[in-house]
Amino acid sequence: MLTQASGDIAMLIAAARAQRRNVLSEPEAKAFLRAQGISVPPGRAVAHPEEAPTVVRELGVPVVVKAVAHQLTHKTDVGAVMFPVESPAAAEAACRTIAARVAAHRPDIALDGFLIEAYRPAQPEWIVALRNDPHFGPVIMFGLGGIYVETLRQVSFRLAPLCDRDIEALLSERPAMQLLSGARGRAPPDRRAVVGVLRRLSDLSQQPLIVRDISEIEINPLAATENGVLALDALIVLHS
Amino acid sequence: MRDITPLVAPRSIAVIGASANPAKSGGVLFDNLVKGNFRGPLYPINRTATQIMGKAAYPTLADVPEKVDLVYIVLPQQHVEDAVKQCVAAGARAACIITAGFSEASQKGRGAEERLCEIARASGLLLAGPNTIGMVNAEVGMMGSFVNFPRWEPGGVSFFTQTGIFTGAVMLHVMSGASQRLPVGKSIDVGNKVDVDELDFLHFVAADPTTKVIGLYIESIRNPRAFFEQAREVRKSKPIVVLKPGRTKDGAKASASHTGSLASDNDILDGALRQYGIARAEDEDDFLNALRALVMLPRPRGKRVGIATTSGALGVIATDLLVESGLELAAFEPATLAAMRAILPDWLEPANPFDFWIGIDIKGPREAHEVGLTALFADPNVDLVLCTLLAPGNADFPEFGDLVRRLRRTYDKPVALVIYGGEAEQRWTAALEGAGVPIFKTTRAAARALSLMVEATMSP
Repeated sequence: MLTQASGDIAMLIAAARAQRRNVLSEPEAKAFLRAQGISVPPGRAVAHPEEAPTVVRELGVPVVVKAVAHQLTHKTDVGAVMFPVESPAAAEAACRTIAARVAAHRPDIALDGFLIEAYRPAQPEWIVALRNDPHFGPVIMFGLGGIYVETLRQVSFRLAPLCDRDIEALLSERPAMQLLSGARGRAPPDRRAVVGVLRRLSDLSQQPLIVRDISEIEINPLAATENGVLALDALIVLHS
Repeated sequence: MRDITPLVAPRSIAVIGASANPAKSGGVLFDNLVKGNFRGPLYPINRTATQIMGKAAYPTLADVPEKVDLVYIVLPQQHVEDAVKQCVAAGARAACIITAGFSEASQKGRGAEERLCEIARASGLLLAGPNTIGMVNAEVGMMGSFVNFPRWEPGGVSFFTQTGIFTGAVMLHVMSGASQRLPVGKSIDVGNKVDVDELDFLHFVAADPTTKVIGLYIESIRNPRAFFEQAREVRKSKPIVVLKPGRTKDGAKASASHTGSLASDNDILDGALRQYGIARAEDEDDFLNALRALVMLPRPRGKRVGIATTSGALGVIATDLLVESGLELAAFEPATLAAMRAILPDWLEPANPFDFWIGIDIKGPREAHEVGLTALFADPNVDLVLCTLLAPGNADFPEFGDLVRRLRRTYDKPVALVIYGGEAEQRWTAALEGAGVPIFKTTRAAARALSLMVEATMSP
């Protein structure tokens, strides 16, 4: 059953441990990010498709509809993310379509529900992550995100904590980072907001509770516009 | 932190497995130690011989009349563990196990190696190897290797390597050059690295007055955090170049997160090396060229390069390589351009790269080189100089060596030189021996050396 998640990381960790899972759901991860001052799109999780239209009427269209299941970490691979969804009725239908797709591709997974969020396109999509690496300790990754992140490999790592110079290096090391200065007539994104997310993750990397329990905090995609940044999807993995 | 001086610069050495047979590793190694004029007592350990190479032999380590600093173990694999125990019992401070056939060979070997590691940990014995070509330290006359090195002299480059034969091959290569020799004075190969590691080595070289530049060939870093913190301090006075192969080894791993599949040890290490200002060489050529530039040249004050060339094509090639490596082309001062115009025809405006071949036609080789190169070296916007000079007969002039020596001395800027094909090449090279001007075979080698030099010395 879905409840609106608290942003308190200790509670989120305890709840996950109690259920013997080492992945936080997307609504849980986003509640945590919001509590850390990292913006996420307005939205709400629902347990049943018929609850979707109410949420859409609250948010306005278009929306994105996603499956919520902590075991389902690569949602796009099974068609469990649908956007843009343009009406309350279409959102309910999208929930049913997603449920059917997950049942077909991953019959082992029980859906917890659906996340309905205001649709915010990101072009390009960025990835920001904190990883407590077993060998190197806390490291921060930044780069070009989205679903082709492994294929394009436009990412860089630095050992955490980061100084200003490290952050600047992360934001300029790969060719794709030139997009942070704007391209093809687009306004450059709010660089300070991107820097703020990196600095926040760097600070988190030094917190004992984060070090002890969390293996990864990954924001992918992160949208960056001239108005700031928005974590469109997030994943938090606990040490197993 | 522990002191590895007894291993790297011992006062006394015993060799278990020393023999008079030059066909055996123990024979060559002992012979090398004797011929290298090791500064302290040498004790061959051999059950049957009374004397080896003029040195009194002892049946066991326990029979040696003093507690030795370092024991080389050159025995068949099955006898190594017992020999290490003898080292501990006899109060030796360090051991270097030459023998191969441990974790690099088999699961059984891995078990044997772990036992060696436990003995070292429990006793405090400093251990290098197994599976190493040995250790060289010219300052104390320690040629402790079974590779037959032709000559050895003290120098400012110190090597630490985690490999076997590669170190020997690199050293032979380094020493085979008739000129432009890389001055490696210490080469510590720890083979499979069961005990003494790169962090111990950084502590040692930090306090070693002879070491000017550090070259590390490593397959792993045991304690990355401590290593990078120490490296940050050491590099302030002694630049570090790392050769760490395996850039392509880690493919994407299956993982719940993208981060998990992207976070290969190689990619994290790559970021950390940049973060801490340690140059990463791509291959052995890169490694040796960067070390040569670093040990021969002053530190760059910036990353703006002035290119002087007598081939337009080589100038463009150099530009590509330098810019791709993150360096910049210097913008020449008006005074520089004015000086350069003096050797060019009216229709040719000087630029960076500065191609002055036609100046040789107009003013003759001596004046063209002297005016052109002096203008470039003198420009305050030029932090580093790359010269690709052609050396056919009509470009030759007897004062070439004097000119470049004078420029190097007067302006004290890092300069990389490529001398391209011609009658004068050998003479120019010979004329610059000992001048602190590295000469490279190709434009790529020169450009890479300059960029790695900047990475290793400037604030990251």
